[in-house]
Amino acid sequence: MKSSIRISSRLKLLAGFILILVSIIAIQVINFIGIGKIKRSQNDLINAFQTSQSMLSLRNEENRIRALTLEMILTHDQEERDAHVMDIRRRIGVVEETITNIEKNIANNPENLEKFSEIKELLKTFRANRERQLIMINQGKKDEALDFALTVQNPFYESIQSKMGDMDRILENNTKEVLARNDALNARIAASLGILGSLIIVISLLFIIWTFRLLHNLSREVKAGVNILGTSAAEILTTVNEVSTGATETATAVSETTTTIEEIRQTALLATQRAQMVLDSSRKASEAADNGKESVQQTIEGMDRINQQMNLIAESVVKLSEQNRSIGEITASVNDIADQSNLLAVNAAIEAAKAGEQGRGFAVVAQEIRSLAEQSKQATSQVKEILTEIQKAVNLAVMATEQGSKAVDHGNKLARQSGEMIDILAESVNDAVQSVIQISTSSQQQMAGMDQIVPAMENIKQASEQNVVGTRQTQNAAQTLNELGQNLKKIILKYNV
Amino acid sequence: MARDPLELLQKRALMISRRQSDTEGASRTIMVVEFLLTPEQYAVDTSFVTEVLPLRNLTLIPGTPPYVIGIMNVRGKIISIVNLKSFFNLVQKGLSSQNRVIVLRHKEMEFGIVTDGISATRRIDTETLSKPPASRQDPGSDYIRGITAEGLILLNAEALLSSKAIVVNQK
Repeated sequence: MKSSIRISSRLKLLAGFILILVSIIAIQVINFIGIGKIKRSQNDLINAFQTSQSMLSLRNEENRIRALTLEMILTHDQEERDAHVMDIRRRIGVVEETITNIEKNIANNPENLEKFSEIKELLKTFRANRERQLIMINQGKKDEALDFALTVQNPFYESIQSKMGDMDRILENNTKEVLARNDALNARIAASLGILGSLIIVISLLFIIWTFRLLHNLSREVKAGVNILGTSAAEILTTVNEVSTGATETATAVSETTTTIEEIRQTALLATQRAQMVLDSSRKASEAADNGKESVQQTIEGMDRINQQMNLIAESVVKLSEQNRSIGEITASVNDIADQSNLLAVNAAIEAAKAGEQGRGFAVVAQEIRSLAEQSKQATSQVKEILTEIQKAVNLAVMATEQGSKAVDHGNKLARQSGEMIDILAESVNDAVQSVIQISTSSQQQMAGMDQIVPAMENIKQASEQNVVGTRQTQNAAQTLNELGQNLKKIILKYNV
Repeated sequence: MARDPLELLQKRALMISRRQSDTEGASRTIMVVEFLLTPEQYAVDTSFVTEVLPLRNLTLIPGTPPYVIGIMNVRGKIISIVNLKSFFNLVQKGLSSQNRVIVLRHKEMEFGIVTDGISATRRIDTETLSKPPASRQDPGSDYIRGITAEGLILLNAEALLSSKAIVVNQK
């Protein structure tokens, strides 16, 4: 808005000045043309005047010549006649010259020229007649000359005079016309100059009013601007002070940052070394994972073998149990047999008792058999106990083998899980290796970056210091600006535009 | 167990010969079969015993008194089986193949008694026997000859075999 106004104002100013200039040039041109026209008109006037003068002189000279001729007729003195002849000749020369002048003056007026040529013809005839008259005079024929003068020359002269009078009137009219034209021209020029002048005055007035308004607006805006400038300058001053403080702080921060960067660089170096160590450890871990995988495989195989052995043991135990049962049955049979033997022995003893003395020996045998049967029974009961123990042991063994089998299955599962875990671990280790490589690379890049940052920080430091200097200059400039604003305010108040 | 069998046999021979001499010295002793009627040990004079048998092929007979369990075929001879626990009103126990039968015989009378087991045959001094308690009024006391110092009850086989209760029912 402001810029457009400014541009348009500039253009308007330029246009106004150009308009005024053009008007002035136009006035100049009109003036110039008018002056030319007036000059020509004046020339015409002078011309007309000269023609009239020449005509008058022509008439006078002719009149004089006629008078002189008449005097010559009347006088008797030869000397006087000669003097008159001399005078007539001189006057004829003047007349010739005057005629030439008149012709020259009326050359651009064919009507006058024609009329004048008639007069000239008449004059030629009149002069020829006069030469004859002069000859008559010289011959002394005075009466004849006088008669000639009265009868021929005088009416002729009267006719010429009347023609010349006509010519004079025409010329006078001409002069009057020229004068009238001149007056009209003067009036026209004056009118156009007046109009143009008024136009210029109006334009100038408008221009002045517009310029005044422009100036007024300008000054108002400038006043506002100056106020803003003052405030802004004060703000700039404050800001610059803050910036100055900030720049100092920046310098401190830059120093701290430089130190920090050095520390970070050290850390990055340490990180690189650590990463290398971790890499080595990871490789070892990877190898360990491979070994662990093999071990797990072996464990699984071992578990399978144990499982097979367990199955064999279970079969053996089952067989043992069966055999134990068979032994039990056998033992029961033996026990039964012992019982029966016992009964038999009792029966034998009874029979022996019935036999009395003869049966005494038999009683001993019966007693012996009974004792054996008793021992057999005890033995079978011992065997039974042992078998019970064995059966318990077998049951325990069966349970143990089952638990063993379960344990083996569990172990197998665990071993497989361990294998999977080791696989995952190996993957993790590989991932870790990749990560560590990336960390190592990153750390190196970081270090390189840090090396680049250090000179950059140096540059920032320098820039900051320059900034401080610049800020001081800016401070001064802002101070000056503030003063300028105040001055501008004063100027505006002073001029009160 | 791992002892020399020869030595064992010599010891046994010695023991047996000594016992023989002991019994020879005392004419008051009788030979008895010792058996178990849980929980007491009983005995019966061998002179009334025909034989001892395992309880096998017992045939239950309906309509008999509760102490007659049934009958048994012993080598073609039918023998009644009496439960003494029932007869003496003792605490009863189920029967099994472990039970033994003692076949008693006096004159024409013959039947078997069920026992919980035959312990041994031995000699008993009849002089050392003590009488059963006098206050005892039940019919069982008539069938007891005496009680030894170890608490062995010697049954009166003759009284049992001639008991009206058993005989009447038998016939």
